[in-house]
Amino acid sequence: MTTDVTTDAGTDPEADRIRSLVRPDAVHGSLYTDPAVYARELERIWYTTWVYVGHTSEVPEADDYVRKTIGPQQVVMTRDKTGAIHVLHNRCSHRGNLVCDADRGNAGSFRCPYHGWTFANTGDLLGFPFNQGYGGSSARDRLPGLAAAPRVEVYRGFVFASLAAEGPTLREHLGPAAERLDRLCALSPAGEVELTAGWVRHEVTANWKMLVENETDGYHPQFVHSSIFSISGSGIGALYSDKSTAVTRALGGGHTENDLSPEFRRLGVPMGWAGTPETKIPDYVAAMRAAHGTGKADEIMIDGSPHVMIFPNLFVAEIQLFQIQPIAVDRTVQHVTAIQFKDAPDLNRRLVTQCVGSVGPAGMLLADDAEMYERNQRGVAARHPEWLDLSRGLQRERVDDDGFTIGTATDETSMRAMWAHYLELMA
Amino acid sequence: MGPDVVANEFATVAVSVDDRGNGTRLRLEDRRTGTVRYLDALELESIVWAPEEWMRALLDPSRHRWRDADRGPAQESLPESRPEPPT
Repeated sequence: MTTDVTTDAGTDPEADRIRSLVRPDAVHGSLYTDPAVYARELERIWYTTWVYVGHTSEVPEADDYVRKTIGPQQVVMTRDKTGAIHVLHNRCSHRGNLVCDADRGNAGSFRCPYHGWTFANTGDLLGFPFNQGYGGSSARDRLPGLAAAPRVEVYRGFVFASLAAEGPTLREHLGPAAERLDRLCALSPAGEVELTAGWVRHEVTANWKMLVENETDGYHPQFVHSSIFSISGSGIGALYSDKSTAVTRALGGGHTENDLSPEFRRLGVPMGWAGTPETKIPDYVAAMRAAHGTGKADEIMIDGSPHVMIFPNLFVAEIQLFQIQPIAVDRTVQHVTAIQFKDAPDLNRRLVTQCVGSVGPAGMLLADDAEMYERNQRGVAARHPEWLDLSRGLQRERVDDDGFTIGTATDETSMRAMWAHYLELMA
Repeated sequence: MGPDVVANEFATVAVSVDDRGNGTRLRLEDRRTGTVRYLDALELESIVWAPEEWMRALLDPSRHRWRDADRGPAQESLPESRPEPPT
């Protein structure tokens, strides 16, 4: 795995200090609460590595735009008249005003409401009022436009940006996690995901890493989510146990997954992973078999959707997608949507209904987790014990046939992998 | 039925086909100021065929509404004084 930053140990006291706060089996509580650590995370992680910004299906037509974020940074993701995708800082090049206020819209150009500076959706400065004050229209050539993210790349419709001009390619950054996005897209008869169901913006008073760690923590579901599992009749909860053949896997680059597919294969029922019998979604099943042939289609529908945390901010949880946005050391926003699959209307209707129950405004799954995040943030503020334990399953960790480190469904293999990558970036 | 409205966070313009003259024309009304401009078929066709650079130049505020005083009147498409016919 390529690293973004060479180690600063020995030359940078702050790097040495941060290294001293992460052990193979424990992390220090101050990593969740120290503003200096957070400031360094913004520079070393959020403004350096590839960060998930949005999906091309959110700007389907020429001149569509959506407001997005890269950590606390406000950006606008646009599709220009030629179809190209841009990620622009949402900051007027004149006096720094927020240029776009609407969450989404269609506009080939943006006019700042403060003094009327006008920009193309590529970022180019088109003009400004009363240009004699700048010596005439030729000033346009020397004054800056909207700043663009130095690097923008798209994988299977997922748009990522890096605010660093140089570094690994997106494909290098994703590594084996890319195959998990392939697995997700394969569940569409057309091979494409569409993020068109709308977003819930869910803010918690907790450090962003609490969320990242929790996303592939298979130890908590049977406790935290027991109520939604019991009323929905879901069999998923039982898969997060030591009797399960499911595994927790470190994919490299800080990316991690809970791979439940061994259990879904044991079950052997198409769409069993979604708890949806094929009689309820006949059009979808027929479209999949027409697209792939029955054998391959059933294999895809049995294996199901991934449960993968792509570091630092894209979490695909089978049927829903979370974008994690830190806005302060102890404040994080989760932007959540129901995943929709192209050319799968009957499945999509069910997925929206399921997501309303899990992560909607009154959904139970996200509310359960949010309560734990906020309690956790309040808890780590206590001074003792200073360390959080990360040792679960360390003694039974092993390497699978593909060379990945794996643990059982409830082991903390994923957290240890995240922290190892964190140190590569931070210190 | 009222006119269609094309709007985003930057501008709001009412659009309708007007047939009070001897032929049809497009009526555009800037809803934020009440200012109106009519475009006939040939003007519209010319916009369809206009180079992109021409459209970009049009979006420079200093070219029209917010031009310096010595560069011409701020507004050449005047507010309508004629009452709307009953619909």
